[in-house]
Amino acid sequence: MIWLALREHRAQLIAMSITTALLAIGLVVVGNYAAAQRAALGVDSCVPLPNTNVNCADLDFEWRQRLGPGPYLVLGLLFAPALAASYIGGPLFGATFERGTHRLALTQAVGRVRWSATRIGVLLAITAVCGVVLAQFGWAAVNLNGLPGGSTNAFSLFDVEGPPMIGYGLFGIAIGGLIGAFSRRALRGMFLGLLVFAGVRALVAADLRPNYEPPLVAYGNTMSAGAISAPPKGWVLHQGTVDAQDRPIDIRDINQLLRGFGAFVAAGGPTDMGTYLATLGVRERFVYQPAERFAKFQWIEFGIFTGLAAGCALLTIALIRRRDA
Amino acid sequence: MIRVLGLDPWRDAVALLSRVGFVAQDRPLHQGFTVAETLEIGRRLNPRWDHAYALARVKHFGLPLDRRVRSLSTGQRAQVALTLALGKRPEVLLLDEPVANLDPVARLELLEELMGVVAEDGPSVILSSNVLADVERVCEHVVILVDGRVRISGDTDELVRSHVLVSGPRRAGHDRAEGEVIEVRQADRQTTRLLRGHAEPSEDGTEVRPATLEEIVVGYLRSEREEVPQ
Repeated sequence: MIWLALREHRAQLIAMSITTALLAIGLVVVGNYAAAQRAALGVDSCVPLPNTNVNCADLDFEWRQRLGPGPYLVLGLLFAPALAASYIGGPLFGATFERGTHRLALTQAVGRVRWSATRIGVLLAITAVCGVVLAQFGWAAVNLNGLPGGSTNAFSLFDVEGPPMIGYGLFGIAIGGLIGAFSRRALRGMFLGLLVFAGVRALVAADLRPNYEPPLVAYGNTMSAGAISAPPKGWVLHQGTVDAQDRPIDIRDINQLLRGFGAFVAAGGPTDMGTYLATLGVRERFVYQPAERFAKFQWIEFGIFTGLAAGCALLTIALIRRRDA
Repeated sequence: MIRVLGLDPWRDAVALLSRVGFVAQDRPLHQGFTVAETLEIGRRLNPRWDHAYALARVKHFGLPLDRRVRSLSTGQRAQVALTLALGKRPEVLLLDEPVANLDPVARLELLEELMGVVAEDGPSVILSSNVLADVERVCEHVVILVDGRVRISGDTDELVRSHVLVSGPRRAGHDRAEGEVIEVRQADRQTTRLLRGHAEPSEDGTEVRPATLEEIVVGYLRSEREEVPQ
């Protein structure tokens, strides 16, 4: 049965392997090139000129020029699981039912559970291997994004590196497979599979991921020159100005408070509005996930998508088991 | 409870499947597989598979093992599908419209082949067909279904023997006919009755001849839709 599943999906498996290999090779080449160019240009060791950082900005611009379309490779990491969902998951059972070839296998001495479980198992196993491979190239995405000098958010490349990549791939195949088995149409499986996959991914990223653990709160000075400091590399979920009682305040409230600033300076206080506001208890409030949680969150997300994939696979098998041929 | 070869088709599905061959009407095959790969499916998925027999069979029909299924003719595909069903040496062979879409030569060959297989290995063959002339030629027992219900079931020869067509002038009384009138057709001046029973020709021009299976089946199918005039 494994032989049949492999033989039936030979073209898809070859396409998946080649795509994975090309993406991996491309990322290694471009990722290394990006790091080498960045070092050669000295982007991260650039010392700003007095009063301006235009010299460093120019270096960064030059670096991006040299990369050309290279950073788009990162999109490959983002879209690979979605493509798997659509092109491999959708037809997995949809095309078989549509063409009637399931009757060919199911009239041999093979039970429905063994048939469906082997098909989906083989595809998931190979997807997992491709996912493990692709999960190794997060560093290339980091290089292309200009980190560690670039973004200050350790979570900015959450979707294209590490264990979640494997979970996304598995879920993509499984949801496409489930919808294909349910609708018995390859195109519906491909289209709806992709749609549901993208929907669930977006929902998890926007609503669940920020709350895998209760976010932390940090405070910083407000309106002080260069003093607004988010926690280093943390993922800031929400930022706003609050008063001494932790109530959010807006620019009109601040303007109201600043009416006393003149008197404060006249009384010999510092001429910095930020310091003045700080004495009134006005602060910048950051709700954030600290950078140290990155790995843990990655595993949680891996768990969610792998669990969803397992659920979809079991549902598919149950559906096929109960269904009349 | 329905039992097939003494087994429960649901509980013992896999055990039963290894003893039952089936070819669906559209003969589903993987278009991208070669003939050899198609037989490999049978070899790998059936414990009772007879590979030598399957290979000999495709060789007999001149099917190249390395040809892809999609490049075969309809008749050749039918042979590959049948080989896949026969290779597991089934005790029961189910064929859904086995000669549908085949040209007359391929149809004849397939039927002769089937009769040979039955004579040689003795699997029971159950086939569904709308081509009643074929059924009459190859089937020993016939079941006629109308709207999913058994309308008539019996030995083919017996069925053909027991039905006659009686045709004569419209007003004739067919006094010498005995049995159940299945269907009455009125033409301009002539009445034709399908009769389950027997009849004698008479002087008023009434003729009696044995009905073919096709005429019998058509008679039953029509009588389902029309009231039989008494």
